[in-house]
Amino acid sequence: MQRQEVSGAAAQRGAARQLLGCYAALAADAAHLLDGVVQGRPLVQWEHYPADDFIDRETGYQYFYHCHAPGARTGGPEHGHFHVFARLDADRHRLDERSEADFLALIGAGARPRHALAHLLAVALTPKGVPSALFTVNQWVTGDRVLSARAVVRALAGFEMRSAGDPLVNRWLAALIGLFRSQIARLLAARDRRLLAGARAPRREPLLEDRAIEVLSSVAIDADRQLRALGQGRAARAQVRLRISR
Amino acid sequence: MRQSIATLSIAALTAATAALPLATPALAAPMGDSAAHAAKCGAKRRAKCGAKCGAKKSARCGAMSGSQSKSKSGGMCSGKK
Repeated sequence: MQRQEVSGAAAQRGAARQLLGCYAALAADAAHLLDGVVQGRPLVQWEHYPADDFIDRETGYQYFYHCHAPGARTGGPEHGHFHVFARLDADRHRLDERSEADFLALIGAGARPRHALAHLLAVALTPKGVPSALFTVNQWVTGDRVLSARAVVRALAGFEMRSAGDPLVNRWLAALIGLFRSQIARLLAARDRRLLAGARAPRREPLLEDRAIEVLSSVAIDADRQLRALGQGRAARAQVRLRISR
Repeated sequence: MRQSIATLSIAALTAATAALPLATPALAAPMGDSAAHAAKCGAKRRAKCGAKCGAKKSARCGAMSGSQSKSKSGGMCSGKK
């Protein structure tokens, strides 16, 4: 157990270095995180960036960025957000179908079609491209398959985009997921608790289809605070230093 | 330049980054936000399903852009299939 915690912390520090490395590279090029995603297109509400999403059919991950209309944003300093998906036809996303069927039964969604996509996570960004929140969405929002928190955490742990996507954003997303893995696990657990509570309460329509509920769980994040916490935690250990080439 | 994780910050690294402008409303969506959203996504779905699955699916998606069963086909933030 202790060894697991140590290796988890090491992975988190690696993710922290990756994340900082991404912003250092952007700063060196005077670039914005979303340059390679927006690709010079005008920013229009609800449009996907890129238009056809970044889809890695090899690793089975997919993401796009978009912006809601001002009244429909999740709040705070959000400019827009990434939606990250798993493509369930990819080998690495083979599910424990029995366990997932049990989960669906528990949340009152037993007989749902088996969509090939599953929404994993949404990541809100400030206008400067800094992550400000993580959130999960209701099933009707993305219209795909709902997986248990356990399955989503597992899928996110292997997040990797190789054959598609903007290379820097691919690294950035993987680093962000690694850096905030504890918050993500709690975020998804909170989502499942809400789904379970929704299944127990009498409702006019299933919670998963309730248009009044768009976001199921969310957490504000502060990457700098997370980095500071990691920096302080490892101060007594070897001083790992980040080289930034300018 | 060498700096430790503890001293680097994303705020400092993005201090000079130009903020992205807010997204503008789509030209074909003169109604309220949620209506614009539903209409826009509905149109996309219909076109996609029409092309992909023929008339039967097209009719299904047409129904889905209404208020009842959109979740079965995909929602406003769905990923591309």
